[in-house]
Amino acid sequence: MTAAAIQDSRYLVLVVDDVPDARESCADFLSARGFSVVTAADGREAVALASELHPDVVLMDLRMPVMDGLEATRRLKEDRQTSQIPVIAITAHAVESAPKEALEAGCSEVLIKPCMPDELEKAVRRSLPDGAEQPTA
Amino acid sequence: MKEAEPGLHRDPTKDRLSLAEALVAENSPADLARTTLGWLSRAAGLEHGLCAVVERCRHRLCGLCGHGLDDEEVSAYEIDLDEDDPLAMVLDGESPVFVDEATLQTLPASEVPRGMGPFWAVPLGTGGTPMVGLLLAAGDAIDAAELRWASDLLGIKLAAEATHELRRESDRLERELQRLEASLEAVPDPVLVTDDQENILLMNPPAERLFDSDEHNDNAGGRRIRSNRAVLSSFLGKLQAQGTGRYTDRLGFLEPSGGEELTVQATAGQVTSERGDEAAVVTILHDLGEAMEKALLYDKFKRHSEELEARCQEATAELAEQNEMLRRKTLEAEEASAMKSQFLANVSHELRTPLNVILYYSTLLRDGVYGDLEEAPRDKLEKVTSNAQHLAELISEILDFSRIEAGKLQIVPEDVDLRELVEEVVAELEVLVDNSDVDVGVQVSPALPTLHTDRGKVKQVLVNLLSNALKFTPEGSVRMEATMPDPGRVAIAVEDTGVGIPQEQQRTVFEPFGRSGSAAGASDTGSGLGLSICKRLAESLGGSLELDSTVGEGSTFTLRIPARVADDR
Repeated sequence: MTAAAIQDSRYLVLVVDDVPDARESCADFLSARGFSVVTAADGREAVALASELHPDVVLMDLRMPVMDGLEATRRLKEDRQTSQIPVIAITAHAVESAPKEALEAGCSEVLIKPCMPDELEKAVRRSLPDGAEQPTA
Repeated sequence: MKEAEPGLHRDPTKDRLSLAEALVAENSPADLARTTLGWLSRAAGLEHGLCAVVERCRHRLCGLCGHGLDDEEVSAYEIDLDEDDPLAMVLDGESPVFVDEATLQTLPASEVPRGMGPFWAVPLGTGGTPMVGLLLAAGDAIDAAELRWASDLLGIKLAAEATHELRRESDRLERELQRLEASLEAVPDPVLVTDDQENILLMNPPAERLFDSDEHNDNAGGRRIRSNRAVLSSFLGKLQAQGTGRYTDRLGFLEPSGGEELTVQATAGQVTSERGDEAAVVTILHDLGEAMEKALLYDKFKRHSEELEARCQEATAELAEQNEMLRRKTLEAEEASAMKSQFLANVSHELRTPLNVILYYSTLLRDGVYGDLEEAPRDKLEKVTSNAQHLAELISEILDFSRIEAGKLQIVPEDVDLRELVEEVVAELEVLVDNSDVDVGVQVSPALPTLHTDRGKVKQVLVNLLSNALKFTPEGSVRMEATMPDPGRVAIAVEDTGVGIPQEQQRTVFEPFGRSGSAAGASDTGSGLGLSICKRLAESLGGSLELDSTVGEGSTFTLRIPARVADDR
């Protein structure tokens, strides 16, 4: 763990992705950048974890089995317990309308895969409350 | 009958000379007769005399002049001359005949002028030619020799006059005939005049063509002419049979030279003489063939026209079919293109997830998250990272391009503050700007209104243009300037002092992968799709992307877009 990691570990990021390597690499990257990370493999699991852990931000893949990211986001926004948690959609969708749908579902931001690691980190920090936006040293 | 005795009390020679001189001076037949009768009354003992002449074209004897008779008697004297009439027989002979009392009784009353006793009937004329009249001379002591002499003289003179008259008449007739012939010749329809025996008296050239056997000596032509004459003859027969003097029928003749059938409207009219008997029949054949020929021509024309129309319709149908085929093929091609684009989109999508894994871990490894690295592996890992990033950009651009090509580009207009947008673009490229040695300047005209356009697309173009300018400009400056050269249109120019683009590549630079490969720095960044995407984005916003460049001096890319784009797209 680097100094930066320690510094930001107070923030919990929920990474939701059905592809294990994608999920794991993203989690590893954010951990390396100092965030606490939990992961979920589908929408239902994500909603359950979010209700339980109240993460500071959710990175939500949109296309997933069982329950997709859009539905999961809607559920989170409907629940008063979780409605305040910012959700960043990450999509590899080739469909033009995907970002729009994601925003309508309640996502605060949409990132298109492949997102550069730095871009991802910036987006996460933008979503966090005050004081988290300065880049890691 | 007896010879008259010559007078005794006169000088006959001198008298005869005076008559001859008088007759030379006179011209009109009546004057000639009057002079002669006067001379006879003095020189030959004439008491009553009447000169009658044969009227032209008529077998009739008419009183011309009298002596010792009243004028009424003279003008009433008109005799139809039957062949066995005594006076007719005198006319047929050459010698004077004395009509005595007994003979006088046998003559019809009309042939003897009232108050005239036995008389000499002297034919007037010359030997060998028809007599022109009779001189009736009565007197108790008439001098037959003088009578004979004077009659001969009068006869010669009258005959001469008649000849003159005849010649004049003949000339007149000739002229009339010529006029008639000229008139007939001018008529395009065949016209012919036939007598009551159906002999052709006169015809114009069109009629000659049909009926004149001299024109065609060959068998076929002659046969056709005989056929034509038979048709004509039958027609004229019907005219006679009908008895109305006029007859019309439709006849078929044969063209003698070629044998073509000619249909004519034949109209015949009987021309009657002054005496009421039929003199001739005039027949006009109106050539219906010409009309039929015209009708035939019209039919032909119509048929050709219909054929043409049919062909035209056929061609049109064919064209429509080809159009339809073309349309289908275009649709198929569009479908194929869309499928290709969809395929590209799917491929790039599938490439993304693993690429993200590579990006994350190479970044983490490079950052020493998993332990510090020697300089060499670190250096290599740096290359993996930067190339993975390049690959990510490439994939993004391919996706953009495939979206544009698939027609899936949606324009979502919103109010855009261009100054804010330009600042955002520069901020986005902060790293590039910071790492560059060039002077970056931004100028936005204060007169610019708030735009209404697709913010994301304008930004994408500007980011692309600015990053290109930074990449290809080793030193000098890069300027981004937004102006409003025309009302309603905005121009955003990105000007650099970079390597420039050769003239021959300025057109292909907007083609996919058409960017200059030889330009410095071109090989290590960019996909070659950036500018073609920018151009398409500009066009999708109703604008354009233009290039002005000089090698060694720099390039200026200018995005021109309408200040407002329509919402419905």
